[in-house]
Amino acid sequence: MASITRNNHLGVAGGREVVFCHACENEWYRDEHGSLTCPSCESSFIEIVDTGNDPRGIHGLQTPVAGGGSGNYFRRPGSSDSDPDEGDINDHLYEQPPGASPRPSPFEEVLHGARDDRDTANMTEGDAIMRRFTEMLMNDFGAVGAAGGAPGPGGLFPPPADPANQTGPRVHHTTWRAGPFGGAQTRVTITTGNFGGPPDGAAPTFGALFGQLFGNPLMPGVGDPNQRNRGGPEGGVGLAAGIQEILTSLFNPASAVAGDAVFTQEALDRIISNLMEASPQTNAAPPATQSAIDNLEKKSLSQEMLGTDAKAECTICIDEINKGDEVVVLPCKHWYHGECVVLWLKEHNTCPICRKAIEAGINNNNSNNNSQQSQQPPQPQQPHPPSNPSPTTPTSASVSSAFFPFSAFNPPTPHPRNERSARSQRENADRLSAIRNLGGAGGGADSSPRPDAQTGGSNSPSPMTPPGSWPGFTTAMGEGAGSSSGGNNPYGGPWRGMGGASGRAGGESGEWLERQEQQQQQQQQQSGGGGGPLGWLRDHFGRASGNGSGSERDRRR
Amino acid sequence: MSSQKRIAKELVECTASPPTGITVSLPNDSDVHKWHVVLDGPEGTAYAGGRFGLVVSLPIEYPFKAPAVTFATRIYHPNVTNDSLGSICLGLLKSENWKPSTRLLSVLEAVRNLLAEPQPDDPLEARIADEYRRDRREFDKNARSYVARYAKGPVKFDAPRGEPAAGEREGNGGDGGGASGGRA
Repeated sequence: MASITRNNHLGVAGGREVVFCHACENEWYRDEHGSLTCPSCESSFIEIVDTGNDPRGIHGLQTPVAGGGSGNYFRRPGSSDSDPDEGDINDHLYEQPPGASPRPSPFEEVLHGARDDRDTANMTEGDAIMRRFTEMLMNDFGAVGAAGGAPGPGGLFPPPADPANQTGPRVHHTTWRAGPFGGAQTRVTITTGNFGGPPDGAAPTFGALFGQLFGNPLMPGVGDPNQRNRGGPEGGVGLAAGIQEILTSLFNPASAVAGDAVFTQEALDRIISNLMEASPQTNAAPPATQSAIDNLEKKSLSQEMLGTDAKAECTICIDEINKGDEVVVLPCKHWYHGECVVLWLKEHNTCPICRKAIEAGINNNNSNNNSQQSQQPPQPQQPHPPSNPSPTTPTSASVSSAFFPFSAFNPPTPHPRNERSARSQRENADRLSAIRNLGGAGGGADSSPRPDAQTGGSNSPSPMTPPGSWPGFTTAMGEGAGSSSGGNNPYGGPWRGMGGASGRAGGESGEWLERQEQQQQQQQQQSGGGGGPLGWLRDHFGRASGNGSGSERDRRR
Repeated sequence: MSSQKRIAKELVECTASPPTGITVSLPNDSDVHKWHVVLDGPEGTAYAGGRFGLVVSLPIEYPFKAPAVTFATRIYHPNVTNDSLGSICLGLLKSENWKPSTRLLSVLEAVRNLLAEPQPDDPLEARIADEYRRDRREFDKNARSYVARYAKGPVKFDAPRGEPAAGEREGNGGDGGGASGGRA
């Protein structure tokens, strides 16, 4: 402290005692004024100043703090600091030994209310965005890669070389004030240096790289080139490749995955495919309980059940059942070989012919099922006829907001697809929840989580799962019990309807998403300086590794 | 194994009185779980004159699990993936729709019916479905060209069919959603 300039104060060092008045902030030499009261205000609230205890700073009479502001909480190179001891840190960092470069803590990135017009004055909003993006990349990736590098051949403490040819890593601090919110300030630590490569190999550093990539001198004031362009080729190339990879994953439509978010239909497809492969079976009816199986009616086949035929066959094993053989009769009056139907019921609790549930009330509360299976297709009282046109707007809008966390944007107008929409409101909700889940964008408020993504047709009303009027259906399909005549095409009519209803899911929503995405991108380009995109990028970029999902899909195809 | 008995019965049913345009054979006589089916393109459609190979794989659990049916011959169709897998979107075969009382004969006829009447509202290939809806003439032309290129001559079931030509894969956009159907 003694070194602090005493511009406005009496010096302490000269051996004379300086007295300071806390009341009027006057100060004088003690030997000039005998009594211990202030010569100007007569107050006795005075203090003798010595080098270890200078009360004068408390009153703000000291050197003015830089930034003039409220937010001077953190170090900034080139300006004084509220904590004078910290000012020395930067000096040490510049000449730090290799391998010990510091990683800037995320907390050093402080949103700062004070606006620095020096940086923002002649910057467009677009520049600001790219600057912010750049600095984010550097914060999150650059320093990591640098710190991971091996020490250079110069040893742990290379001899100090001349400044133009130094081999050790360098740390350069830069403060950006180009936040999307108008006042955000970020301190960037750029570490460059020789990480295992020849000291003279000049490789593109971050600043140069991004300057090239964006065709824009984005990095004014990052530092003088002599300080930066010392990176070894290996370190430089590796980092450059890493950044290139990131950019590719961001801008290449084929693999536009960043964390949990996807940007393209194709990327969404991959996720859906992977999820489907993970849980291929979850939409089928759940197994029947053992008690339900045990309680099934067993009886011997009577002539009445056979009708006019002399014999019949079990539709499961296609073996004959003769009169008098014991059969199991389901509540829907379809009957089978006991062992055959039990094998089926142990996997699915519905009649193999008409899909009617064998357990009473199971369709209404599914109390023995887990949440994945709580929305089952075989519901005899299904309230939605297959041709029920349903509103598509809720799905579209919600998906948009869930997938594009650019809160600054309004969801685009949904595309009317009424001619294709045959889903009910609830199916929309189900599908939406599935999409949300797989998108990782937070659970839907209205539906239980469904890790499976087999949304296509999972809840679609299908003639194959006939509502109340099943006997007609089964007859029409030539599969009624005891009907062994099914030679002609039973699927002409009902099958077509089923195809139309099932599995439209992904295709349609995918198109929505695609279009919405395009609109979002357009809006993004137009509005430029919105806070959303960058904030989102910053939040998600740390998790940008989620690109590996493509391989499975490729393999599958 | 009870499934073999049923499969054998169904095989007899399919071979003894084969339905129109469907020819079933076993690639390996000792394995009834794998069928090779030749499907004649239905007359009056863009697929007429083509012979399409279908591979039917019957799981061990059959008939309690649905068979897997894929096109071995490439086909230009809204409900069949336009790739070397030839997955079919057939609701009948989806696990949640499958019933053990469904017979393979019905499945095969459903596939053939799919050729006669594509389901563009339930597509695996969104672009092709779109084209089918909006420009039937162009769709027919493309489908015929696929027939001419892939579905003439002897049917190959497991020969590698090469990489799709450039531009053929552009319709895969809607694949993800519809793929649920293809998995059945």
